Amino acid sequence: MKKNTRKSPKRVLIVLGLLLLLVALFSLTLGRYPISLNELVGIISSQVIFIKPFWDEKMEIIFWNVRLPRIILAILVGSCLSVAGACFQGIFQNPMASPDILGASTGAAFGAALAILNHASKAMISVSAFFFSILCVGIVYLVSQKSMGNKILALVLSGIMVSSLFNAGTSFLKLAADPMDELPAITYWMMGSLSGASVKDIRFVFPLMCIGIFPIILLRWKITVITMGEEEARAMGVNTGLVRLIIIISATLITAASVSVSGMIGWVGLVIPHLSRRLIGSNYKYLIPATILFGAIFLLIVDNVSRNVLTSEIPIGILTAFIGAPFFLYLLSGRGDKL
Amino acid sequence: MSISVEHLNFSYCDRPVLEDVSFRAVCGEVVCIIGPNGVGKSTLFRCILGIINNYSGIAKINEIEIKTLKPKQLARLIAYIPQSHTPAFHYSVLDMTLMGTTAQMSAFATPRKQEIIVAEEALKILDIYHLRDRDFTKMSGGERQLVLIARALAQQAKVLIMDEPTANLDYGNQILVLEQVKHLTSKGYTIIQSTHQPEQALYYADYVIALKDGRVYAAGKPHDVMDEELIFNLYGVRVKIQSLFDDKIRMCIPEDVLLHR
Repeated sequence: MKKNTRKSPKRVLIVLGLLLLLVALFSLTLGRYPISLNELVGIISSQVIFIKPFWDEKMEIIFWNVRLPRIILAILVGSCLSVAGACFQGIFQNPMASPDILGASTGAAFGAALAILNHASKAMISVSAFFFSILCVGIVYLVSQKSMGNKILALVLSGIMVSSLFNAGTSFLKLAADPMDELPAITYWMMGSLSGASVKDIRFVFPLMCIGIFPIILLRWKITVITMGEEEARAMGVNTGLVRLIIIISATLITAASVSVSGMIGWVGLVIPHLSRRLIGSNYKYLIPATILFGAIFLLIVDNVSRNVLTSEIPIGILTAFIGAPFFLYLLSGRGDKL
Repeated sequence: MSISVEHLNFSYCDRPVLEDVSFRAVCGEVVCIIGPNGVGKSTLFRCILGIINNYSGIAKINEIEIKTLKPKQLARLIAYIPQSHTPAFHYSVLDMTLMGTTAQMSAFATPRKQEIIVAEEALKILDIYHLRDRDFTKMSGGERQLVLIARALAQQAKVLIMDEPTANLDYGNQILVLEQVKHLTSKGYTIIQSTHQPEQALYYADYVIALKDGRVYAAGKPHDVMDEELIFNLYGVRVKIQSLFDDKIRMCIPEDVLLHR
């Protein structure tokens, strides 16, 4: 490859940023209650300058309380799940790692099921899901630290074990649930959906996500070095134990925050990092910003499908699986070396 | 630049791996560590690289104890060159080399122009600048080994530790890599490498350390210590050591081979 034919990573990032802006604007106009671009600009700018409303009041309420929170949440959740996936793939040197590798989602599912069973409010379901998600990963980490051998392998294995324990717990709760209302609620939660997105949700997860994503951005070059393996990274001057711990905590925090408000949305955290690698390479200096933007774009588009294609909503987790699994098969077949 | 190891002992789960190992390597030397598989060569390297810390005895670099140094401080003094491998992800040669500059950067930094200049210099020293934008995972083993050496040079440490640098390389690449390594000693680098080939020690080493059962079995200049008895005691192979070109070079030929001819 000649120097001038290389894609400049910065240019790719700018294009992704503009694309996100466009998709977000487009998504704001879409819905059962279509808002034209004119009205959209009017509603937004009326916050700053006085404009005589030429749209009906109902539209404005829908925009601020339903449409906008949902779009923002899709962006946040898409970014966070993708970045968490990229982080776990990096620190485990494993292209097949996804955000739930340490049990963040199974923990959250248990927490949500428990809250639903206790007739908790929607906010409490989120809090419970978040708490159990963190708890599950915490247990996984502590168990793995007891191991004498390869710490990474111990983490992944105890992730599988503790996950299946929480899975069993969730199954038991389902068994105990009232099949008329509680069981469907649990099942629906586990399919993943952004349909209930509210300003409250955003207030709850936004600070957590910021706290989580900040260290990841700061340490992104260190993740690149850690993909070389424990010994090499140490010899290159990286305090691997500390960096890995910080990244695990941060990635878990943003995964737990995402899952707690959106339910289980699979595949995003696995597929988006790989797509981003194809676009921009594996250097985490650029890969992290690229996955943030790409993940947001992807989930926005899928959520548009989820809320607009059929008269009743399709849970987004089902859609990401429908798109993600065949896509991954395509990656594996023939061009598997690119993984 | 000097490395000294004094009375180093290390056990893994009560099984002694290294016992009373002592040696010293000074500036501009190639030190070859020979010995059978599993004798503790890699473990010794891990001690020197600060990856293993629970050993007894002292390992020092420039008279500073290695245990007391932070990973970053140590990385500025010693670089590690692993066997050529395939990483989990695709990196360009430049990205690979840039990783070496990590120890020189502040904690939250990413490589910028200054680091790129350092990395490109390292590629130029090894004559592989033209590979700059190639995919590391799609190169030959020899090229990859040279990139890993360039990465160590970009680390700007003057001591290089190489774990069997020529394993899995074809003959041409073995010689290429070893010649480049030898060339580095004239630039003030100290090189400690492990090898399975007694010839490599005879050709390139200034100092040889033979390990057997976790102990230093013999140490000294290759022509002084590497005799037929040593090779038999290390590897269980009877060899004839032949002197060539007025004893400029010595070769090691297994006796069994001579019998068959």
